[in-house]
Amino acid sequence: MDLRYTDEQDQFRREVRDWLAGHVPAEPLPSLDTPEGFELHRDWERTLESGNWGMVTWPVEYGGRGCNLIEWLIFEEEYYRAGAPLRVSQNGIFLLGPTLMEFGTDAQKARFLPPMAAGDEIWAQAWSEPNAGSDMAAIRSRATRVTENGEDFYVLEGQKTWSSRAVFADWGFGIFRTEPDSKRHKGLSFILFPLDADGITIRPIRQLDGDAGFAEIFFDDARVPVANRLGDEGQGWHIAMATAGFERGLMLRSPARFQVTARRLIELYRQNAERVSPATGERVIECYLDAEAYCLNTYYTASRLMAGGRIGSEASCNKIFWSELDRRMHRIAMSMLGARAELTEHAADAVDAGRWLDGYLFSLAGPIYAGTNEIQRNIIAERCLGLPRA
Amino acid sequence: MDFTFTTDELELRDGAREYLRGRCTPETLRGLVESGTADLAGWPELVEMGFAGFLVPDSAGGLGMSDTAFVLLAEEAGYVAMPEPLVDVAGIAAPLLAALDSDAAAQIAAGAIRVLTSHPLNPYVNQLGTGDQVLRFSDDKVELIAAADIETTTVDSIDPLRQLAHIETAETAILAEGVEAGTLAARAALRGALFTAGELLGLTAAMIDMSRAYAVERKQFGVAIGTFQAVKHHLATAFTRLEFARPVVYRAAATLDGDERRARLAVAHAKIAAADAATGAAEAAIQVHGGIGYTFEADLHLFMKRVWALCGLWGDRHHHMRFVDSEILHGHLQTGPATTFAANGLASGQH
Ligand SMILES: Cc1cc2nc3c(=O)[nH]c(=O)nc-3n(C[C@H](O)[C@H](O)[C@H](O)COP(=O)(O)OP(=O)(O)OC[C@H]3O[C@@H](n4cnc5c(N)ncnc54)[C@H](O)[C@@H]3O)c2cc1C
Repeated sequence: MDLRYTDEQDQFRREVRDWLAGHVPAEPLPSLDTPEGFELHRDWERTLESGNWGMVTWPVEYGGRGCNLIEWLIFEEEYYRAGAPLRVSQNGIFLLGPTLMEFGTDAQKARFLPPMAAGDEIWAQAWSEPNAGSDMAAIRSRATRVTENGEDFYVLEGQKTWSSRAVFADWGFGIFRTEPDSKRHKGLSFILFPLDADGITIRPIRQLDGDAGFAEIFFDDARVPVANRLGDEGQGWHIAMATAGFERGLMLRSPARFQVTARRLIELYRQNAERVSPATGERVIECYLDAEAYCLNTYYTASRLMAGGRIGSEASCNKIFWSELDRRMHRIAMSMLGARAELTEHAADAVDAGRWLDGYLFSLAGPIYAGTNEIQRNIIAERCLGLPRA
Repeated sequence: MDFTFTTDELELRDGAREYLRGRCTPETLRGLVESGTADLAGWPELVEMGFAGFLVPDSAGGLGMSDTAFVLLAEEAGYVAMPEPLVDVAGIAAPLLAALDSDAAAQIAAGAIRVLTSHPLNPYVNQLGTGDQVLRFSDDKVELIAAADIETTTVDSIDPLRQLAHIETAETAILAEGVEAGTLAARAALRGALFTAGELLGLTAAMIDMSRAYAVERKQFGVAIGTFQAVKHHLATAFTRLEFARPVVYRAAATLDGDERRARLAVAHAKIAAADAATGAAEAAIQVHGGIGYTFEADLHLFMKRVWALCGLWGDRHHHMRFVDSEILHGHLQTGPATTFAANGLASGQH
């Protein structure tokens, strides 16, 4: 055990830091859930790509830098430290990208990875349906195979919902029932579809903050080539679980994000120390310590994975830990803001431009998306602790 | 950056685990409780295993292992709720005496003597047996009290396997004074808090495991209680807390010899995280056990009681929180991304 960075790692950090210092927009970009903000975030992805900083962990052959997990953590630390924009392409580069590398054909990789990396094609994830949320295996959307003029297509029918960024994104991925009377996890296939295809309708849904951060997707006789299927027919559930594993595991929420929030919380406490209740300081410290613990746990897991270990169901612990910490930090901040807590971004007196309020709203979604925390606790109890299923 | 244990460390841990789980079973513990003694006849065996001299250099007949490895050993000792004062003798007194070039270190490693500790943070000595010596820390001196000079009054703990005594001996042989004594006392406190955190991790894992076993076996409404989601979620939460406390404790071990304030902060965090995980797990465990958990009939009480005792040792939550407060809220230590391992590299000199 040696918890010092090597010279190469320090050098890498410096390189990231210098590049970001010269490129991160001086002013925060508008929300990526607005048309203007979305395009500005897309531009930022292009800027990242121009410096070859888009997907540092991707292999060099797909346009990445082949960074290991420790380098990825260093990159993320610098990224958040520099206050760089949110990643509008996160569903693609963190979730679908690795899934394509594992299950895609060479042709699929060549077709989809480069524009994903360049920010030219932004991806939306489409698992959930109105009657299939936590119970994802209950999905009903169908993909029926047809042959016309010698070409094989899937005809997509049905409805997906809560698809983040689908309002402005270019492509979607999801699972569909390819075997008509199949039940539950069987007979599903993983399919990629352009969001502007004929027969696909997007209905934006306003989220808590008023912006259309996700959407319903309706499929009515939408046709996609069979070549858009990832993996074998019927293998959809298996592949989707791999994607969900990437989501719950290390990549979705890197520790730096929460360390920034913890630091802001400490600053907010200092500004309000005179008027808040005596117990507040300790609650703030607990958040700081938990953000550190999240960081330490991530480095620990990263080292273990680099030494050949695998991440299993304990990834569910991560998701619980960061989402509940994030909510707690924002709740404490909201309480310290008192009568100004309700002020939105544009209000003259809004503290930190309404960032705490915005963050609080989003933190409430953390225990819901990527599999609710109740589902994660079920997974931990059944798979890590071996308790019997009901 | 390598946050993994060496193969050697893991092998030693596995050996210790096998030995301790075989020797220090709940039945043994119950027997000790029945007999009203924490019979220490097992100590020579622990010496034989190399535990007593774990941190003593090879040149003095010890194993010369690292603090990181000792944390793993403490974790295993905690897992079986071992009553012997392993942390005190082997984790604190032995390396400290070795650093002072005292012969006592070699004698501890050889099993000829045991040296326990008395420290301003801990009002009582635990498991003081006939022939034991005591290393007594105070703000301005460190003394080694010979067995013959020890005068005590005993006090009762809720943990039947802790035997506490208050040392009444007046001033005796002084090992160190002034600044040096202060440094030694601080050093002992760091090690004490760190290794106690290690024991707490082990106790936490044990309580989760015994609750899991109980939840599979105990039936109500015709099914195992472990099928009930409320029961599952209690244990899943405890498990998650443990998963996130472990690396915190391991980091504190790995940085013990680095920058002093950073080391102290890391140890404070370790003690707080391990104690919180353990306290939470104890409450989850008794809830999952139901009525039997509130008795001497189930083994759980021995583990919970040890947790409550250890939470207050080598600095309670308030003690460590106050230090974190002084550094983080009221001090100027940098926080935020890239500062976690700061004392070790580029990140420290930022801005
Ligand atoms: C901000 C945000 C972004 C999202 N982005 C996407 C996206 O991009 N793509 C996508 O496909 N989906 C997305 N989702 C949807 C998300 O995955 C679902 O909301 C989630 O899986 C829960 O499903 P549900 O909303 O149908 O709730 P339900 O499944 O109806 O759950 C309601 C409540 O019941 C509880 N519950 C349900 N089943 C159980 C059980 N077995 N045990 C215990 N409790 C249970 C849940 O934990 C929850 O508390 C997003 C959601 C949010 C809030």
